[in-house]
Amino acid sequence: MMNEEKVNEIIHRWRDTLREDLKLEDYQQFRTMGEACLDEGDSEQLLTFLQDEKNQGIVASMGCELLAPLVKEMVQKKKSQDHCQAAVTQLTKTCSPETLVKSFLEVTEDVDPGAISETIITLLPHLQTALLQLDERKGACVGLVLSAVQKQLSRLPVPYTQQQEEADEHGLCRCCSALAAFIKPFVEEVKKKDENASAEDEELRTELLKFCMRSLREPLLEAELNKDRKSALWLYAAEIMDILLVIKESLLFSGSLRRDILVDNLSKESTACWAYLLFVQLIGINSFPAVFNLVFLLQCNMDHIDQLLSCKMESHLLKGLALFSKSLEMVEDNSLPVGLLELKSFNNAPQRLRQVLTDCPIQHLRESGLQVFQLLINKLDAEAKHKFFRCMLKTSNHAGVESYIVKNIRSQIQLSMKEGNANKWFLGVELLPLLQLVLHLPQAAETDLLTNMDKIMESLNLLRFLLLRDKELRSYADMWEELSSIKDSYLKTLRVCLSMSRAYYSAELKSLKDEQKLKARETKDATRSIRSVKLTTVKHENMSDMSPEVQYQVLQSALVTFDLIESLIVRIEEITEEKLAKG
Amino acid sequence: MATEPTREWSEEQLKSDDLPKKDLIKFIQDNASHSFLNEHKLLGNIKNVAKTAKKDQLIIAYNQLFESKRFKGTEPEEVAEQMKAVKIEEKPKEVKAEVVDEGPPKYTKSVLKKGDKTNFPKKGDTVSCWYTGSLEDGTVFDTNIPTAARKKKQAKPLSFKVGMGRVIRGWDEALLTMSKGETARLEIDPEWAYGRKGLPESKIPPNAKLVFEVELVSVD
Repeated sequence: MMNEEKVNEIIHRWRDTLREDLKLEDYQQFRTMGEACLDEGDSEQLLTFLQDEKNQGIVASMGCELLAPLVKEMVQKKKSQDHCQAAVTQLTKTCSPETLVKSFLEVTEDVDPGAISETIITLLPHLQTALLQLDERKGACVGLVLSAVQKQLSRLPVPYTQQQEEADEHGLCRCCSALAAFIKPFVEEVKKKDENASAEDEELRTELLKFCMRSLREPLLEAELNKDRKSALWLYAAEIMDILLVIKESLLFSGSLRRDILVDNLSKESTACWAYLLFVQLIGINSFPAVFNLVFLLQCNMDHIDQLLSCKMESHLLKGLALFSKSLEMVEDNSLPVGLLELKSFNNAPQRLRQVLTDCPIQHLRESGLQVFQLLINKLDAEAKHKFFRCMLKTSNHAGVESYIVKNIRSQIQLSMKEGNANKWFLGVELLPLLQLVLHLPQAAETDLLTNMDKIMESLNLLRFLLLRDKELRSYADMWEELSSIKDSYLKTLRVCLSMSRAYYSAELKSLKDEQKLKARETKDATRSIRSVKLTTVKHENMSDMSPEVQYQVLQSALVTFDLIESLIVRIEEITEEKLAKG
Repeated sequence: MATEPTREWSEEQLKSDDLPKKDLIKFIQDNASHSFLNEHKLLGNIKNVAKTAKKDQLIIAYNQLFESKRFKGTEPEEVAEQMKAVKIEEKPKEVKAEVVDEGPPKYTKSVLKKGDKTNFPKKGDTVSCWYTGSLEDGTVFDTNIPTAARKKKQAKPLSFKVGMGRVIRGWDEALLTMSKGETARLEIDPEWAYGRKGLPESKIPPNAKLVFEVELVSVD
């Protein structure tokens, strides 16, 4: 604790010292004195000192030492707020911009995790003032600042409900708004420059592009955006898209994205977000050229869709599904040719979609996914549908998906049978490869009927349908013969499988019943004796977690399922007989 | 209609070595329709054509020109011919949907400003264009021409690979018939534009015929 006299002595000495003669100790002492001032609640005194004309030399040399303590004080929102703001403003006026930026960056790097948003919101306006004063290296410094700020922002959780966004507990939304305001003058600068931009201007433009790419990824990709509700983050997204327009960077052709901005997979996520904002949220759609071929746009978007669907986060999946849906809606039904399916992106995205259907734990995403799946099928032309169905039947290994495909196959056949719709891909010889995949048991007679039930039921339904409409199909003689042989082989194997499954499950059921009887007897015996008896429970391999009642139900329903399958087979055989009898 | 040009040289004169290929090429280029030149591979810089074409071929072309009478300005449907000519070279890349490639082209072109008539884009070339798109009633729905003249210095024309199905068909087909520097007015039927659905977000209604004024700035 220094007395006032000593303090004044030191200050006088500093006033007369040249900058280059100031030592490290001086800087440290200055800082300590400033901190002491603040700690004692003397912010006003500190401000007076800083504003005093006689002290401007000191402020210019050492003022930046006070930045960190001042910011720390401001963030705590004490009564000293206004004084501290004014103090920082004074520093920004007096100190060299380079030193200021450097000090601001240090403060940002060392920010207390609990005070990130407050610190950033406090700092940004002053940073802007400092940066605008820079003559050289403006672009590079703006880049450094943006990078540092965004790094801190990425530590803040992104709100994902309307309530969370409105509450903005961690301040992300306010920071984004502050950031948008911060960057405006720099964007204006770029706008004003003409074709003969200097290297400096190019640098600023590059840094702005990097900023946009980072923003697209974080926080926008995680944010929940809805064009009917222009939330803070939606407005931020609009700002980013606007900046991209101003700096004239079209993200449509991935080849045009400058190599130096490409930060491996990160830029793919950013571009995917851009596509989502443009095509789904319609931000900036008015400035997007209305000359592109819609199938080409779909092709471009497939890569983005693939990227979005490959991430397990709900926010990404939602966006991927929405983009997929929107892109498909733009093209005509039955228009996508089979050649498209050979493109890598057209192969990946549907497979990812299928994975969402089979693996995603979030129900509403699976439901949306199914709608997109059907939409995709609807847009393919006949040959492409045929190929797609074959591909899905071969690769999905999931009875639900397979059954859905079989249902679609039936619709297509039905459609082809209508007057004037005759389609070689779903009538005639071309149908056979499809039917071979449909009427197929993956493990032959050892196929698990329960896990494959959906597909088997749909397959049998299809078979029944084909037999009932045999008139239309018999005209394709080669096909009909082959179909009959496929059918016979399938039904034969299925019957064997059925009887094996029935036998196994009946045995399980019986042993369960026996167990229960044994337990009941044991319990009766135990109540008679005084000592406690450990009840033996025979464990079933698959159902050990279930109570006996539930196990019983499962086994019973399995047997019912088998009955169902059998009744369908019987019906099919009946129809075959009837048709034969008719001759 | 221009009167039919007269034969400049007799058979003997044609075969004679005194008649340089360049003169023959120039004559044909000056008098034949664009599609004729295209089919006979006589488009472009005279020197280059002279390198690749043999004298015999040129004589044959010369005679064919008079036989078929495919002179400049004799084909009101010059555009239609050009379409056919382009298709001969085209290899169908993708399986086409239902649209048949034969039939009249679903757009019309009127040249507002002539190009250099030398640099025509081929499929796969990158072209750059200024354009303004409007509906039949005149409503402008899109343009990349900035309003202030000062801004045109910083604005960039739209660049893309032509003839690859990246843009609406009317554009793909029309641009292949334009030469560098040409400005044309294209009226495109909906089938070769945005068809039955239109583009609601871009203010293009369903079944809309589109009018574009396009300037082909560069060909790479």
